[in-house]
Amino acid sequence: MTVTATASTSVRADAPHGGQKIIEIEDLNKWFGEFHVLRDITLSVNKAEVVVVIGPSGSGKSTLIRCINRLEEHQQGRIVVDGVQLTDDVKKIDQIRRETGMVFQQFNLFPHLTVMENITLAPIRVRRWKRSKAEERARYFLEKVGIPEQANKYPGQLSGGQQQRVAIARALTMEPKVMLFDEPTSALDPEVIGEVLEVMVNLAREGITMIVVTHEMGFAREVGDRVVFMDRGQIVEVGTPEHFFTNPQEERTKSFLSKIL
Amino acid sequence: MATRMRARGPQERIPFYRNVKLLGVLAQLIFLGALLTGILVLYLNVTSALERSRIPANFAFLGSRAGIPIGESLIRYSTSDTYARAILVGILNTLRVALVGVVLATLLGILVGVMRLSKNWLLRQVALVYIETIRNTPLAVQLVFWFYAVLVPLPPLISNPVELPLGSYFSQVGLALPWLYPSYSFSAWLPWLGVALALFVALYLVRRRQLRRSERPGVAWLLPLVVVAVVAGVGYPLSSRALPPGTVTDFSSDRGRGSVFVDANGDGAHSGDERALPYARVRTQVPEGTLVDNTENIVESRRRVQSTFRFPALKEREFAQAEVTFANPDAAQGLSVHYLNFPSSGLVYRDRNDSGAYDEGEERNLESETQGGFNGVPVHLTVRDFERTVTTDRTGQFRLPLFQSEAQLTEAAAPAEEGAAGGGDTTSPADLFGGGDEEEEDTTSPADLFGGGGSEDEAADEPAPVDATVTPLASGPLVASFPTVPLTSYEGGVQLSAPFLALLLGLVIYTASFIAEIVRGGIQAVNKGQREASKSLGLSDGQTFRLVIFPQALRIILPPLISQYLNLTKNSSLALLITFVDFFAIGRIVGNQTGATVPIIVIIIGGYLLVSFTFSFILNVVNARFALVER
Repeated sequence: MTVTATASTSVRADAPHGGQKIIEIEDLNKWFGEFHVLRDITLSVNKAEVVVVIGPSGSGKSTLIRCINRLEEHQQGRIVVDGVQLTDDVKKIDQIRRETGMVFQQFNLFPHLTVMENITLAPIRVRRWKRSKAEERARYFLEKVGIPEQANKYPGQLSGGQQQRVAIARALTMEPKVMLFDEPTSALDPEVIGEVLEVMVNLAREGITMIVVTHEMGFAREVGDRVVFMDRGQIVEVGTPEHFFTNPQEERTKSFLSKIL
Repeated sequence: MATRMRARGPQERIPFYRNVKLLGVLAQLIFLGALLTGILVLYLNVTSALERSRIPANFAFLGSRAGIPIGESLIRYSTSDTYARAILVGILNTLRVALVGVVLATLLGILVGVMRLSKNWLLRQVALVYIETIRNTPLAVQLVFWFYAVLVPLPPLISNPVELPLGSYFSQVGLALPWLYPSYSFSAWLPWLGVALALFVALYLVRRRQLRRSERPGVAWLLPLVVVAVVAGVGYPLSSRALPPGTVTDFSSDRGRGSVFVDANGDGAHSGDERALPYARVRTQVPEGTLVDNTENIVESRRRVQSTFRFPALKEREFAQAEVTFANPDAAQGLSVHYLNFPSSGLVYRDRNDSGAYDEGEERNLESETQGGFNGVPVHLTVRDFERTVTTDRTGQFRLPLFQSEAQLTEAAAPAEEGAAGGGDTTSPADLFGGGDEEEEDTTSPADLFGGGGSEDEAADEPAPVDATVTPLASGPLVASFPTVPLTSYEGGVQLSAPFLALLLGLVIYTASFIAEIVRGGIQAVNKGQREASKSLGLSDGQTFRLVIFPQALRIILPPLISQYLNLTKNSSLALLITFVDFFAIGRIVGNQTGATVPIIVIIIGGYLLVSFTFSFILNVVNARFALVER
């Protein structure tokens, strides 16, 4: 399923046939002022698929996934999440945000709330769950990310790796249909990257739909269903990890891989 | 080398002038010595200088009679009170302007601060211009501007005040608002309020525990508040009492003044030890009465004058019929009356073009009469079936316009006739308005009492005053007092003088510009990622601000906010510039009168320190509560 194209146009990164599409992005274009940051991006993701987006910094990877939950506004193209098209309609935006969990490079935990309050805030206020249910689910996911004993601490009392795992638990407790990871390990000390990746690998194996922007090639190779390579706002090459890391077709892909591997 | 190093071990003696610890102690001692010497020299100098100049250096003067007239006071004050009480009045005035100012400045500051961050270009620019203009102009200039350029020249005179909604009045004298006061029944309501308060605390605690264990987010105070409102509401009618037995009203229509009190000795007059009823409602009825005024020339433009009359403001629903007539119809031949604000103000003109109305023709013609006009023409405002419900003040007194009877007018007409014919003003308006000075009236009251039992002939000669009926009314625990304008000042409600308003306006607008920047800075200082994380979890804009951004911004905002509150309090001493009698202004007057400059400075500094410390103590407690629990 390798697709190649000339360097000047973006490659279509359609999800494999037969799957149930949960995210559809078509001809997406975005500018930051004069700067054309995303060019004709077409990408779809099936349920339970893990898509890893890689590429040099400034290639538009983060902007792409931030467009999906409207943290960035796109100017052209169509984004559909779980059958809901993203428009200027606040109701639609909120609906999509409820169904997409996001994990940030800088964790972005709320420092004035405890770990438990961080996690249960949105389920109680947005999903309108009872507190007991929210706390029960929160404990379940804290267990899952391996830090059940930290529930009553404040984020400032945790290490970076622990904070990122809380952030993952916070996003998961909302029971989103899709998880977006925006360079989740880039701000971590090398010795704690492993614990966060391990959590992510487990999630991927459980069949959670994920789009992961990362520089961790090991992770891409191990759990990625597809790898998308972006450069200068375009999708340059798409393929299975096996194809991608052993037999890349595009010059730009080869040059990027040669630098980081 | 190595052996030599070891030889310079810890046991080596360091000369004292190179010993860090010793040098530290030495520096402290030298500084302390210098400080104590300085204080001693200062103290000796001051005491010897004071002795030489015979300036009092103790606080004995505080107990003596002050004799300072103070226009506005939160507590009862008269010129016969002591200096200590005058200073207390000043402190309370300062506290009042500071507390109201702090609340208003915070509200305005938050509003403007949030406007600065608005997505709306216009709002943002308005906020920016406001902040930059106000912040960069000295406060003293602004205060003088508000008082001398806005509040003194622009509003109408007290005799023709602007009526605002809810029965408020606004004029050069200031703003008068309706207010709730505790009446004589209030004490019966107190137990209910006590129970309500206790219930609130108990219910709140129970509800909070319940919520904490419960399933949903919610506010703990809402249900208790409803219960409290119900308890207090049920208690209100039950604690309404009839007027205390023996309650009477003495009203002297000659002075337009009366009081409500419990007549213990049954003589009908209010003697010093009889209990006055503050904040009691009184229905006053005057079947027919006349107010007297003389016209006054007001230069409208370079060559035009208006001869205007002004009576105390009457509302149209307070009377059945009212008409302004000339006191002396013969002398006023050919003159007509034109109302500006029926029936209380208007002007006198000559209908030159026989149009039957005041119009262009008269205005043109007036130019030829610029010098004379129709100055000093005595006019009467005759009112029928006047009825007004007033509320007594905190001393149990109330006032009405100075209605005169037919008989009094005929009596007064005889000597006034010659003067009125000549067009001059023999009776100055000030006399007619009563020009109420407490002392003056106090000296006349014993005479009145003697008049009753004294020579019958004299009493018979007096023309009968207007036939006024005043009835004290029973009321619930609270009385809504609406302001009225009986003479040249407001009565009832809550009164904010023009200097107070100017000071408040200046302080609030000035301080709010700083608070706005603090608020903006605080909100902006919260990491952008916090907002993104909150939005990505599906929280709405409002929830994001309330639950995520604001609690974090508050921690950044509070400390500089506290210092702005202190600034506002200290800046209120600029009241001196605009004749508001605050702590500092009264302190200065006391200092000038007694010559006790040093003690008064000590009192002033001590007073401001006390206020500032109280403020920062309270706010630091709040600050500690909001501080982040971490690490």
